[in-house]
Amino acid sequence: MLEIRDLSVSFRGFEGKARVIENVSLEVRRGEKVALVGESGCGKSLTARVVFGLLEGGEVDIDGRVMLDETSLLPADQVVWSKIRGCRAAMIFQDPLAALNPVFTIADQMRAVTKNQPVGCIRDMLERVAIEDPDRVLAAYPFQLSGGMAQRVLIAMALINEPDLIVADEPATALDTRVQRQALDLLVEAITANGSSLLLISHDLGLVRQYTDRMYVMYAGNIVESGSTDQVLGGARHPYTQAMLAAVPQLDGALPKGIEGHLPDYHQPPPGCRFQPRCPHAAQECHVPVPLRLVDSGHEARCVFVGSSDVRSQRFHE
Amino acid sequence: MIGLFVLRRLGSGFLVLIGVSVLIFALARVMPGDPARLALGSSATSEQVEALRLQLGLNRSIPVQYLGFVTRAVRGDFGISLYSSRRVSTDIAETFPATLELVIVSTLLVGVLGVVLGVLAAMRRGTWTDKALQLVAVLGVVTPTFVWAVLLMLLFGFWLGWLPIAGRLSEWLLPPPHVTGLFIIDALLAGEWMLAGDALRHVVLPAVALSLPALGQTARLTRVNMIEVQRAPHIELMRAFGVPERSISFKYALRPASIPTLTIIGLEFVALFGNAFLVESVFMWPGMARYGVQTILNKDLNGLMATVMVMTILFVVVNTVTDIVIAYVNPRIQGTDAV
Amino acid sequence: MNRRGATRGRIAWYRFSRGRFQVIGLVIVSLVSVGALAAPLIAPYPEHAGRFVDVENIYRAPDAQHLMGTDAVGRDVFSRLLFAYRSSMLLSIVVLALAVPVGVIVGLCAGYLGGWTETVAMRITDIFLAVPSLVLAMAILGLFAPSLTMTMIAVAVGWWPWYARLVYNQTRSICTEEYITAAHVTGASATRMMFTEILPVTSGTVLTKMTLDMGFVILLGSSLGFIGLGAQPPTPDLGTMVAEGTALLPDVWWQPVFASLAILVVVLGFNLLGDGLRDLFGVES
Repeated sequence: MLEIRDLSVSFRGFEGKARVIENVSLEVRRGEKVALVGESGCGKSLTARVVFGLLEGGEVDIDGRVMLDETSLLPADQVVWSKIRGCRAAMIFQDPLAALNPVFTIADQMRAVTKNQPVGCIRDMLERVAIEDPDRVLAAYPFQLSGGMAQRVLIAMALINEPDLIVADEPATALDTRVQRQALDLLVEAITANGSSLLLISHDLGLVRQYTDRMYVMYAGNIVESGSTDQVLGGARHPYTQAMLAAVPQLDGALPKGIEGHLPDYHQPPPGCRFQPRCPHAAQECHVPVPLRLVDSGHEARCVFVGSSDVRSQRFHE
Repeated sequence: MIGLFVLRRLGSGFLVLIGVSVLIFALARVMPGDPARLALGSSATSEQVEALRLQLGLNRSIPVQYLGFVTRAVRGDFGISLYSSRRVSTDIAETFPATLELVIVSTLLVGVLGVVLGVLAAMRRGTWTDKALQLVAVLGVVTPTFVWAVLLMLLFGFWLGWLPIAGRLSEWLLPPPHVTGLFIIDALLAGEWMLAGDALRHVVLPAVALSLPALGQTARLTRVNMIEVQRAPHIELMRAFGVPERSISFKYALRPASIPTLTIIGLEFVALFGNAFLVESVFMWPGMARYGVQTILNKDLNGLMATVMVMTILFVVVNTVTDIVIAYVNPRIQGTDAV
Repeated sequence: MNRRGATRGRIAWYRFSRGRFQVIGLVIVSLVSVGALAAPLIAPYPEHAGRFVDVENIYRAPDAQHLMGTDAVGRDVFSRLLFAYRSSMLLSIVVLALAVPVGVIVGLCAGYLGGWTETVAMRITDIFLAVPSLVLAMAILGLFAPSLTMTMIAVAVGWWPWYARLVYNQTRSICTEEYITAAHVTGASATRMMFTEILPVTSGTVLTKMTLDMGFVILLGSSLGFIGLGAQPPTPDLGTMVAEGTALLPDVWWQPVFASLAILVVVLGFNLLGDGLRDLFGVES
């Protein structure tokens, strides 16, 4: 239903052209819950913004195709956007308190985003997201709400027009764990009930495991691995994904291994695989652009050592 | 509790008033030379000077003089003006409304036109409209008020002849019945449309000249704030939900962006009072500011102190009211007392 | 992260030089400063800045000998403007040299030390802020004989509280940052804290304001000169020169026009420069 094909985004700035997203392709089918995972700065939030046409300005170059069912979202124009935004696709932003206008009441803001819904719909929606006193919340200003409450308001906003696709950008990062779970439970429940699709952008693997069917792993503007959530989390093949999983703290108290190094300079990314400089298995073959290679049915990874019978590859795929 | 906040604000305002009165009194008494002799000139005899000194109470000690000043001031008695030979309070009562009318019109121009132009420039950011507006705004800020006054007078008064350039009303007209002292309002209240129109035409040029620097500054500030707010997450959210750009600019971005401007509108109002004398001189506007300048040039102590005190009272009142209104509108800051 | 060896200074200069207007501002300020400094050397008729009368040459329109014409007593307007720039720049420099240190110190102490110091200092600041600087300056000048020196003092008296308030607000917000508490714990003395920790952080804002104020002080000075409260004749003064010519407009137009332009240009220069600095330092107003 949502199809992103060969998306590339670059910014022109002080030091030249920064190629922050390169040839990213992903899709979300109807009714699916898909995760887009990666560390801060890898480009996942940008990808979300492209879907809604929120990247603008003379210094941005965007190439590729984005389709929502039959409608082209890239390239697109204002007319298309006004029909899609909020209606067929809705976004949930990262920091709920920052995403609400401080000088308008919740009621004002909810009314602003609601399109063609019956009277009383707003109040009902607030109740559906487990806000006990909707009238008080409606009359309140954002600074009077807690983070969890604000997040639920954002979820209500996203759901109110019954969109086909919801893109949640780090929907729970700003909240503590218990509140996180509540919010996401609500969201996923509502989505499943409506038959909508979800694109969950997160760096929290726990959430991904719990709530999504399929996932994409993104690193430095590239998709490096994709597949069903079980496949990827259970049997990761790309060195980055493996390292990421190894970095998750375990309950047995052992200190996790971080990943050495940092994201590449987008102005001068390494030729070929962008993970090379940090990859313990980097070799000559990694200097040329690597396509996604099939690991298993529905499971792909962008690494030269995938699907090869090379002794080296076998060693680190144990 | 807003009641407490109001009390605190009034309290500090009162303290400021006392402070200013002391300051200005001290200044007046510290100045070199004998006020009485200065007022009478060098040809006066010592008896005349002594008589005036007694009359002005200059032979008493400073604190006593101050107390006398304060007790009389509270009753509205500022003494006799050496310049006009009338009661200072009468002079001020006559001239104050004229300046008030001028400054109110200017403030409206600054607040309304400034914000509108700022928003316009922000919306059309990068285009020629934006650049032109920015240029006009900058010119407004850097050009002295009196230059604008003279320029406008030449352009619209002499060359084009569209607008009058002297006084508050055309010579053949009588002022409307006194209600507020503001001719436009009084004329409207009396139903005299033509009179109101005439008064309005007379106030246009001086008000525009007076407002231009502040107007330019407001426009620039609003523009910058608008552009910054446009990048805020909550605006991005509105956009992501398909709210039309028009609504975003004029409603959802404008309100947070204009708060800094509104906060200083009180200060602007008083600053305009300070600059008013420049346009009053050029346009022969019979206002308090011009009166104030005359008292200074003529070393009329009573008139000078009264003018300064009135301005300070105005400042304190306006700022207190502004602070209270802002606190009412923005409940968040009621708790903190910004010193 | 090392960005190809670009130092902060180079990045700053790059960003600054990209804005055409900031550079124009810098150019204007430099030209005016040079003009003001070298006035006695480059003015075509330096003696016209003093007592000088040449009845034969009054009210000459601009021509090859007098670029900006002559005034009511035959003095060359251009030369006088150069000297007027001198007074104005001097005014700005002295006013700021007086007002800024006082204001900054008051603000620092009030913000950092708190308690009685804070209350008293800020109340005094409020009192001075209550009277518009122009009115205060006029009052002082009216009471004490007007002259360039007196103008400097009068304006400085009204100007310092703005710096006090600016620095005070910044100090208060910085003081809530943890690194101040950390430094405090190491036993740094109050003076050391204020001047080595807090002051550098406020320097960007203060510098920006100072640059803008150079222009605004000149503006204020010219307003005072317009009503005769500035430098007294025969010393040339920008505002006075505008006022002198006004009565004869529009026929004898050159003095008020060129004097007005002179004011406009110098204030514009400082304004553009100041805006550039503001962008550079990332300052909030």
